[in-house]
Amino acid sequence: MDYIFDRTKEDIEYAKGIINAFKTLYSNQDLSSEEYDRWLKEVSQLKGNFSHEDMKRILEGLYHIMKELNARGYMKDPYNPHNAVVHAIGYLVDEREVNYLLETLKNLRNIFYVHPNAPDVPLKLTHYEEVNDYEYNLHLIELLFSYLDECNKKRYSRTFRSGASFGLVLKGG
Amino acid sequence: MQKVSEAWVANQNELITSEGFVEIEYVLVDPDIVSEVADTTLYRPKGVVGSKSILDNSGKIFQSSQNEPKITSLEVGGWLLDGSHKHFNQDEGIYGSINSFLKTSTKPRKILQISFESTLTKALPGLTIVWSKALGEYAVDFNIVLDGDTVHEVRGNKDVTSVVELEIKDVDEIEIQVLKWCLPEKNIRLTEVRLGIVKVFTKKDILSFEAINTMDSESLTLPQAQIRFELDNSNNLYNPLNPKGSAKYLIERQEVRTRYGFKLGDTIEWIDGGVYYMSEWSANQNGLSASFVARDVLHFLDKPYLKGRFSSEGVILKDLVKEVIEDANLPKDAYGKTLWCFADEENTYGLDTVVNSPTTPLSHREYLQLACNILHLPLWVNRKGEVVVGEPIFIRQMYIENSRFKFKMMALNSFNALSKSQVTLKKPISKIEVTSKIGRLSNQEELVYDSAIDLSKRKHFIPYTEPFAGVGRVELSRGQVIESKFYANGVELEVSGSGFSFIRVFDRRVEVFNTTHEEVLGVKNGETITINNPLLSPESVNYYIDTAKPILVAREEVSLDWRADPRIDVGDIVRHYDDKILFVTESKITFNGSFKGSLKGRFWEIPRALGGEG
Repeated sequence: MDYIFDRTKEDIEYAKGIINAFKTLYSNQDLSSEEYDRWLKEVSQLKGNFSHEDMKRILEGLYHIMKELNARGYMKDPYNPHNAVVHAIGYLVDEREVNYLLETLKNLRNIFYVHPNAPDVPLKLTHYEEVNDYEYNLHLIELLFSYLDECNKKRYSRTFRSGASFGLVLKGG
Repeated sequence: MQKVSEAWVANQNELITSEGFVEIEYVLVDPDIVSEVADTTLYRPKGVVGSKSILDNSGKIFQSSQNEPKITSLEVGGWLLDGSHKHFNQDEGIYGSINSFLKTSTKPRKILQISFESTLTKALPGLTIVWSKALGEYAVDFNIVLDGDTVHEVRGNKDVTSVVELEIKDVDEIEIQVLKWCLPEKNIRLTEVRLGIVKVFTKKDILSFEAINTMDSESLTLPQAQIRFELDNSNNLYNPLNPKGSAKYLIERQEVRTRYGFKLGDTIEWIDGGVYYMSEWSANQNGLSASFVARDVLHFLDKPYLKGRFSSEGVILKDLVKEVIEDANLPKDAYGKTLWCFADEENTYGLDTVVNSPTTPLSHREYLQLACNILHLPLWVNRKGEVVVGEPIFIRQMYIENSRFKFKMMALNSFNALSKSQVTLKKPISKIEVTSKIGRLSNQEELVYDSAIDLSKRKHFIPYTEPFAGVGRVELSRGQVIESKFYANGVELEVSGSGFSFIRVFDRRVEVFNTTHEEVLGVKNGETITINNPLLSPESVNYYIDTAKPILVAREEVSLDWRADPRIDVGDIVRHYDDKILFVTESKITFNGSFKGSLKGRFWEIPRALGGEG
């Protein structure tokens, strides 16, 4: 999964500018359907704001990780977070849903491993650094899967890979 | 003193302050219309969350939560990740706006319906709608529909605040419909709707501005808060002979709010200026400006208070204050709260003192002043427009929080004073004369009123020509008295029956005995101060004189011009150069592109607890 965790302050300013431009354009004239779709796509892909696309990616990422953990024997019953959090356009995201996302990530860290570079789970998702931290955690969990896969590859007799060469130094959740 | 940021304070310490601003918000609506629509019902579409309907003196009929928060939502554009948004809590239930999802469609979407209890007979000059203040979003195309058929279309709006100038008369229902929002696939957000037109005058419209506030710390005189401003009238908008102008909607008692600001960095920091009520206006026929005077809420307290009643045991001062204010029918704020308060509800300041019952027919504000005078408390109007009884709370906080006179306070010195302080010495006082009263109920019943009343009108108030005790009885030649309430200056009756009836009201007189107490101060050739407070009983005179003496004999009155900082209030204490503390009793602020002002006050004795001489 391609997580986004490199948002910067400049992205916020850029997003503000693009949304204002869209507002001005949309308020002042009728857009053709091609123009309209293009603008909607542009706005939903901005890094400086949290859109339904970001929510969709996070939910899919959580589900994907749970399925992986299940396949690897770390988790018994994976559940689909889409059932608890809606990612439809226009939906108001309330505190309970955000807490659900944060708690789910904490649980995943507890039942698996935490990468040494993993930041703490944020308390909310309203600032770009908090969302970066959240998605970076997901990214690092998936990275650990790839490290484990690397370790499990076939080796010659009497050799093994500890993982140290590719940064697999783990700490408890 | 108004709370401001550190940046504001730092700005005041600069040699030249940053750009200053004054804004006047004037609501053009007949206050009587507002009371006419008290039973308004609001239609709320499905999905409306946390909104509440209100009705205040200024015609505000709908308002979302007080500070409309930015909610995290997955609308187009989502939420900006700058930390300014909030995940809303469904249990709290308040997140501000009408949220009614609007997809791209040309079908009008009904968002608010105002149904009046009875047909509006007076003309409303229009409606003011504030869309989403927090997000800076607005309806581009919307309709105002009157009585379901007359459609007033507004197209191409580009502002968060839409002022729709439209004569609304003889209607029962107003509906607001939205056709296009400034961004597609968004929830419609509505912060505020007002009946009437809200005009906001900024410094580009204001030719001159002056605000005066006074306070008497002992309530020997009434406080005064007033603004006077001149507006650009080159377009003849306020010319009474211009049929398309706004002059026809100018009515006394319309609400005027002010605020002051300074540009600090990229933003303007604002503080409340005050709430006033339109009093006078004039526009010269050949002039380029129109001038206006608005005064504080105390002008609503001009009518006589007739509902006192004699009690040989007297009345508790706090109860008296409450009764007088409640009888005055002051305007209410947006949440239905009457615009008055005690400065500190928890501390009674001696408001449980027993005083003479109010039998003299004085005005409401005179009674409030007399009540405050007994305890040497100020009566004043704060910046929210509330009448406040009691000393500004911060003075006591300063006592508590700061010892040895080290607290930070605004300083007046050669840096911000535009003139040297002028100290006026008042004539010395040789004698204080205080008159107290004691009343005794007469045994003799007298005929107070002998006339006829119309029984078809159920409720009557019959005023007396002179004060009595308020312990009377009433006789009707026909019909029945359902309820009677006797006061010293009149009787309130609820009657039943039909036709006219003779009525005779009897009551007993109060014999009042005046006693004069003198306190000679041993000063030759001084003047005599006379105090005549009808609430003062002989038992409390000595205490009154003891506590009033140090204040009355204070001879120094200070006045100076300064580069005004608009956060100052009357009743504030400020450092006067390095050695003295000034208690501000009068503040005048003018704005002609920048702030300037003058202060009056008296030197404040530094309490012993703070290291002073006491």
